[in-house]
Amino acid sequence: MILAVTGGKGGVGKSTISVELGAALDATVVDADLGMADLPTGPGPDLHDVLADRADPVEAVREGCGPVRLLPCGRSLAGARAADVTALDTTLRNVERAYGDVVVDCPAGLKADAGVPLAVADACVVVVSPRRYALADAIRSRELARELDAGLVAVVINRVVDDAPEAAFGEALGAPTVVVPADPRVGRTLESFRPVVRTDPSTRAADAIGTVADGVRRAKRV
Amino acid sequence: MPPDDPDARTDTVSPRPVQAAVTTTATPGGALVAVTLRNDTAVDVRVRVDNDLDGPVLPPRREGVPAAGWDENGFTGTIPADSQIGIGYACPCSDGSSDGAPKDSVSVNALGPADGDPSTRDRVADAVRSLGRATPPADAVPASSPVESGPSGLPTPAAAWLDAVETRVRRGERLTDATAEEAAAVLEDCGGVGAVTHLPNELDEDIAALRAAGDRIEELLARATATDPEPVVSSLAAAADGEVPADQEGRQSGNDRATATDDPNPGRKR
Repeated sequence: MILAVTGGKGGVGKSTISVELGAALDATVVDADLGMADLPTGPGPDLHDVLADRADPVEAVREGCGPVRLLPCGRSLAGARAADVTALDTTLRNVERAYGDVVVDCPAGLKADAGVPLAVADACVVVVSPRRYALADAIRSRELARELDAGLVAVVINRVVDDAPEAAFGEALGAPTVVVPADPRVGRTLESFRPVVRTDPSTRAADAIGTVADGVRRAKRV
Repeated sequence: MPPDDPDARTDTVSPRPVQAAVTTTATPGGALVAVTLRNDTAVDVRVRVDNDLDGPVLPPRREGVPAAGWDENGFTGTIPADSQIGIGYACPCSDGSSDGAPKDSVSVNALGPADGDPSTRDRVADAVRSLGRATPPADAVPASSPVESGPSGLPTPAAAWLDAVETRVRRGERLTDATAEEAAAVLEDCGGVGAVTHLPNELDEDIAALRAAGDRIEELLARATATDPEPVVSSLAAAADGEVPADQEGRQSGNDRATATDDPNPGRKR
């Protein structure tokens, strides 16, 4: 299964949730943010090289370098320009064939680089912040996903401090809403590349990620 | 395409129930083909248009992706009931530039009534066409600049290569007609006989590489010194800035003027 982790705005925690879900589902995480990648990279071919037909997708997957298998993305503008986003289709399918489930960390916005992962994905998770404007973002993301045939598994309201408008989201979007409470350990997931579902599985945040992962597994069976 | 284009030829191909009017215009680069497909029946009809010209199909594109329905050989689409659609493509074929218009640019086949949407939609292409690519503009991408030069004035990789060659040449010189004592000193410097056993071969390769590099450098030097793009580039730059070129202008800002007048020969120093 190819799961897209999307959400209209930047900075809401798509990459963090992608890594957490990747760990919870034992999936390969693909950093598809071609212009503003933020998952760890390192020496070796990355998604820019793959989409420019300079590397094989399976060879670009990093195994054993961290808690999750990762296909990182390059950081250069030249790489972003050379990358052909239409090649993401075969890339994601090849990774899925070789490694099983794939979690795609989508870029912000509503351009083709955000749309193509949704067009390829079997399902999606929308990540939003617990702000007033976030409902509109979530609806826009859901509409794009619906247009591109990616079923919405769950809406993740991320970094919730007080009460989150769970019911309003659930009603407006017609999808289960999962609240991930603000937790500094989750905030460090990307920095340390250590997902809380592995390091602190008993926390409420890890529990929430587990709920989303269960939803994804159920969607996979359908 | 103007209908009265002298090079254009309009054919009518009629594989019922589809009426097709094909206009082929020969251009210096190839041919432009326009096809009007008319469906007079009361049901939607699927149609296939295949290119018969001797060349590839260059379909219309949006965001770099061929428009919906186009593939390498032609177009597949649906004509709604009692209406018509127009399609067109370019073909860089030799026929297009020859005298007279090419014959039988396309073959049109009706595939039967369109029930539902049997076409397999390419959702990825649809997404790119409708959402638009998000690639950074070319201007934002740093151009690959000329190679940096080191203290010797040579580009760094070239200097590194020449330094390596020089080391081998120096070793070769010291070993040329060397006495046993001199040879022993060389071996001591480079750490044993293993370091020099390949030296004769390496020097042969160096000689070949130096000759090739020398020829290339001489040729490029002659070509580079014969160029003078500065006048054209400066007028292009002035035109891009919406200014009159410096030599036609009386008024300029202080700094620009200083550069323009202080240097009598703004071309490259040779």
